[in-house]
Amino acid sequence: MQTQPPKERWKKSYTLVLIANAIYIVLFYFIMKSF
Amino acid sequence: MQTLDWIVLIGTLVFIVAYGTWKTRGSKNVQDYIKGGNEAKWWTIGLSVMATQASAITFLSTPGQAFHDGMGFVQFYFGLPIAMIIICLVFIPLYYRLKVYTAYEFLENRFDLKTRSLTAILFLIQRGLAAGITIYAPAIILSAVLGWNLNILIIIIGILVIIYTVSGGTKAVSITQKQQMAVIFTGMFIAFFLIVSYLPENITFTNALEIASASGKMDILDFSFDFNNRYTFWSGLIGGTFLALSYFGTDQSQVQRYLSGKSVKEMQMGLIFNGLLKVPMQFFILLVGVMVFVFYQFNTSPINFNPAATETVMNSSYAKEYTQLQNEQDEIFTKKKDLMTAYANTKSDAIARQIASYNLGDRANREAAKELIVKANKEQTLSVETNDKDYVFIHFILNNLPRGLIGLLLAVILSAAMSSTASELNALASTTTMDLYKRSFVKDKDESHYLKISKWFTFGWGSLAILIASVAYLADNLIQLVNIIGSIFYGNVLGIFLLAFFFKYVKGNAVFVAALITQAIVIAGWWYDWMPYLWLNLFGCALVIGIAFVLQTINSPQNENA
Repeated sequence: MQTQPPKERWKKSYTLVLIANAIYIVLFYFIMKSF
Repeated sequence: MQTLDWIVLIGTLVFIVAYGTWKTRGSKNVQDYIKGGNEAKWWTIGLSVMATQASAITFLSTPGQAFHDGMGFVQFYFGLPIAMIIICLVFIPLYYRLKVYTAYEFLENRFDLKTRSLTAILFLIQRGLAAGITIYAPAIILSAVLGWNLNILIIIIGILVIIYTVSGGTKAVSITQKQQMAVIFTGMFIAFFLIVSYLPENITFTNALEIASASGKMDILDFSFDFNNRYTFWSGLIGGTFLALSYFGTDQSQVQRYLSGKSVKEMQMGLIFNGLLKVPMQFFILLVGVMVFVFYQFNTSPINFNPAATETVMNSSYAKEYTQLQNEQDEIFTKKKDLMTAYANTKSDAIARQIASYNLGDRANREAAKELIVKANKEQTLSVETNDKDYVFIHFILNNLPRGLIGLLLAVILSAAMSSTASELNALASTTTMDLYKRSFVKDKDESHYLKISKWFTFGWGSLAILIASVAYLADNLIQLVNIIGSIFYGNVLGIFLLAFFFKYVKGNAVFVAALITQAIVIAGWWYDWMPYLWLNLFGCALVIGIAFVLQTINSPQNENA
């Protein structure tokens, strides 16, 4: 039986997660600098 | 605890257990029982994954962590969203296509039966012990602060979980976790708004953040490369990805949550949901802790929040010294209180320096108090916990929240304990049934037999968890012991999975022998104290991959059977 990962396409939701994570970090940076 | 608190507490817990049991009664087959009939939608999976990870200690300990050390702990979760994407891209499509019941079943497909069985056994040892501690950890804290009988509390938590997990399997775990998460978020939001409302009238939320900042509690990000600092941006991003990958990708207590999904898309969306919400959720819980810190800048606090520790010292020859420290602490509090309001209004650097100086005194006093607790422990041959971060939030709840809400917040803590334990028992039973019992011992029985045996294994693991929790007090630091055991096995297991997914070149025999050698070396490394035990995760992972490659290279291909 095939055991290698099938070709899975990159989805927009993955990009959304990465952008959200980056936004959280930037937001935390500004919160830290503001207070 | 007032009557209303008891009504809210008992009512909430009994309702969740009864509803979960009733709603999921009558599983028809193993697929229904272990994979929830593959009916779960993405939001159910997402909440279930979050509820499994968030144990009672998350809600007891994290606010206390922020109280003492600020918001930096949130960095630990920065790698989690990246891990979610890797699992969505690589792990889920393969698990789904092979229609596996457990993560370890995939290893037989990729390598061989012995590698599957070995990995399953490593999981059972580690998670079996952890299930006991998931019950024990909140029980010891609640019994200390509320005076409840420890063993009765352990048995009640254990039995409540066993009732619905045995009855409804994965579906019951998912359904109850949705309600438990609703209780948890409702309770935490109410607690947060109440804490802010308890601050003095002239202190706004922004002022509160400024006050927290003056004491270094808002230092969220640390970009330094300091290996001595456990929580930095880099350790969170790199180490966090690594840890989340091993936990969510190879630990059956998590894998089973998304394997219950209706389709690959629902499973992936469930993990995306977790990837989006986990960081803000942890940030919020830490913010609750920071607000508790600000609250105690305007209200007196004990020098150590663990009542058992205070009692131990007060019953020892160090009582006078301890009282003296508490008095000094009260003096610091009085002086600091006025400075806090002044700082919020002026943001003066001079006042900030004064606050910092008092904070040093505050910290020194708390450390001195811990030393006295250690001495009192020795004097009375006790082992009471000196670190009070687990007791900060519960102390606030019990002493400040209004009638009824104390019951709700206790329901939050017990719901969190139950949701994590349920996933663990469910996963332990599934692994025992599918990876060992059905695969290697009793192969040719009908569905009803395996369904019945799955229920018995759930009951057995639940009973064992209660037993472990009941004797946990015998070990000086059992929670650390469980973490050590986890670190000894986790790296090896992750390494095996990484080999399976990403290194086609390596075959079954090489992996199996490499896993055995690695396990022996990692145990030796722990025994001879080669490194701090958390690093054993990375060490084990790298070692099994390295040894497997060497063995594969020196072995002739025709000897392989994978």
